[in-house]
Amino acid sequence: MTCATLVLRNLGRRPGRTLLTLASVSLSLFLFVGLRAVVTSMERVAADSAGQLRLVVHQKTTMTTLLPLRMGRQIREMNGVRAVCGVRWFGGRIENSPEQFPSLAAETLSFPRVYSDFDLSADELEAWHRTRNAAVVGSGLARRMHWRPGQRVALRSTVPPYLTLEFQVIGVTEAAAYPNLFVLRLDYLLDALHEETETSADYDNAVNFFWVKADSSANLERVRTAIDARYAASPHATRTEPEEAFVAQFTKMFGDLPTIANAVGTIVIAAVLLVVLNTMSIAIRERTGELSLLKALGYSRRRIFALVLSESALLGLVGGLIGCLVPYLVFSRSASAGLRIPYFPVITISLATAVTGIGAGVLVGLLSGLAPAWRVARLPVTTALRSV
Amino acid sequence: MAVAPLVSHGSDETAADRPLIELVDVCKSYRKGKIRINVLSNLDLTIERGRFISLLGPSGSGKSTLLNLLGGLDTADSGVVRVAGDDLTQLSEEQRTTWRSRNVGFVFQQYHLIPVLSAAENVEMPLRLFRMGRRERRRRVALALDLVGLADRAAHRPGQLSSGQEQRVAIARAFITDPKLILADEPTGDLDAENAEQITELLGVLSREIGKTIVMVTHDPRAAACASRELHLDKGVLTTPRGTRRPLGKVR
Ligand SMILES: Nc1ncnc2c1ncn2[C@@H]1O[C@H](COP(=O)(O)OP(=O)(O)OP(=O)(O)O)[C@@H](O)[C@H]1O
Ligand SMILES: [Mg+2]
Repeated sequence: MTCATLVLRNLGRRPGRTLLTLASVSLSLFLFVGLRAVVTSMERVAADSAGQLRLVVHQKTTMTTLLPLRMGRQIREMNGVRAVCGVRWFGGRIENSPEQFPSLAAETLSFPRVYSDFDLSADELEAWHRTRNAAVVGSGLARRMHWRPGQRVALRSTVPPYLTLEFQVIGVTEAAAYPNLFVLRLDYLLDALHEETETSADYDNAVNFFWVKADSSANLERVRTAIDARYAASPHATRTEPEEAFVAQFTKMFGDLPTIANAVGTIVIAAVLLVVLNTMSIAIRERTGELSLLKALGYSRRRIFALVLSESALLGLVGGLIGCLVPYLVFSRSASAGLRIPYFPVITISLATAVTGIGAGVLVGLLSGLAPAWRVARLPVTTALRSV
Repeated sequence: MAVAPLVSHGSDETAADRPLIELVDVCKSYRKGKIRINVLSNLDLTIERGRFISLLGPSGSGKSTLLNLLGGLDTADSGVVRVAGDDLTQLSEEQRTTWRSRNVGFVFQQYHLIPVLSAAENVEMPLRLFRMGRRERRRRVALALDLVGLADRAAHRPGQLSSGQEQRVAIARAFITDPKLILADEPTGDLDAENAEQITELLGVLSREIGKTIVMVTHDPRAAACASRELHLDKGVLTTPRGTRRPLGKVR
């Protein structure tokens, strides 16, 4: 028999109580890890886009006010700019489908240059240029909808004038940052708008924002200020941001998610700490006599302390393994195995996140065992043996 | 028990001719709020090695208190408590803990076995504090359980044993480390007459055949009569009634 045997048997004493505690530990840690994963996935996308040397230019006060296409050509002429791609929000949905995903119309020629990280093949590129109603879609969206290249898809816009357009999927991108994106050609959308409505050319030849690709990271900041300076006095005053900041701002439209996620994660950990503390306090109170008996036999305070602490740490560890390792094994492998939420990057659980969760479990176990362990280790033997 | 001694008896060896227990001018009181209750005052006591002492006295007279002092579970307010060569009043809490693991075995009225451990594992608990191989531990445990007549119950948990059997497991646990002194606080208090007799008999065997020094608190005159000497504690005074001092080895 080893001390580990005693620790395990003690946990097996009230299997119901141990299981309930384990369940709350693992559920809480699952929530904790899930929230961490959301935050880290968003940070990863932001970090990825930082490497893309992209700036986004939108109207100074709102992102919905349109900017004329010719501004794109002017920006293209500026020093340090490699490519510019005008983008218009389409907001398409499949009729009678609850599925939501972002759909954007991008300028045909510059799209592959600005979005080189889409990694389109030569064949796909050729099809993109040749097919007027071409569409490139994210791998997650394609998988959910069972779309393959060549597939015809009709989308109805959710913004006026509520056009319904038919597209042909010519490529599926595996890029992890765009799992749900639907990209169509801007010329196709603008022509359709022009045919459909009597609106002014201002409306037809305009976009929501421009993606600007700089030629080097050294030029990024200079280009950013130069663009805003150029239009500061014009009716189309702009605000230019690095893509990273834009992505962050975009996700902020869904609430200040990272902060909330971190706060909720911390509260969850604190709550489960109280649960384990409660369990350990009851368990140790029940066993005060036995532990004092061990002291009478010659077990030192340190041993008693370690015995109690190992028990609570084990609770935390097992809870952590269930709550973190299981979801890690399910959601970690690849972007395609990740969890999908509309408008969000793919959420994957990294090993680091899982290990953080398990570590949090052990820490919770240790911390919550501290007080009961301390109390029973210091109790005089005679008091305890007399009271049982 | 045919096992090598666990502890090399160090300083005690040189004083082998000294009594095992020497109490000089011992005082012990408890505080209840502002009131001080003197339980033992100016107590002197000498117990020679190998004696089987029964300690009697009315409830509340301080028998358990005395036993706790002898076993290093509690400390005296003043005086000298010399047991097995060490003055316990001079030891720190940690030193007393180690001292206990080497020098005393305890038997309690309520057995105090750990319910999730088998009889053998309960007996093994004190041995785990010594540097000793698993195999050697097993061997000693088997011998001890055999001696208390429970060889066939080694794998049973306390809940599967009768009260008498539980107390016999507790006795095996008390002498497994081969301590010089065994302290028993009303070991038969919760047992019926037949089981009580078995337990007292077992303690007698430990005293006569292995030479353990035993101090047993009891209210049962029949159990007390098994001892080589009776001590009465009343109002803080220890007395040995006439005719209760019997020659060693002539018990019962
Ligand atoms: N930890 C303690 N705190 C306060 N008072 C105590 C404590 N332990 C014992 N006493 C008091 O000391 C006195 C002696 O108690 P003790 O337990 O030694 O008596 P006893 O002779 O063993 O009695 P019994 O035969 O009922 O077991 C009692 O008055 C008791 O209330
Ligand atoms: Mg008592």
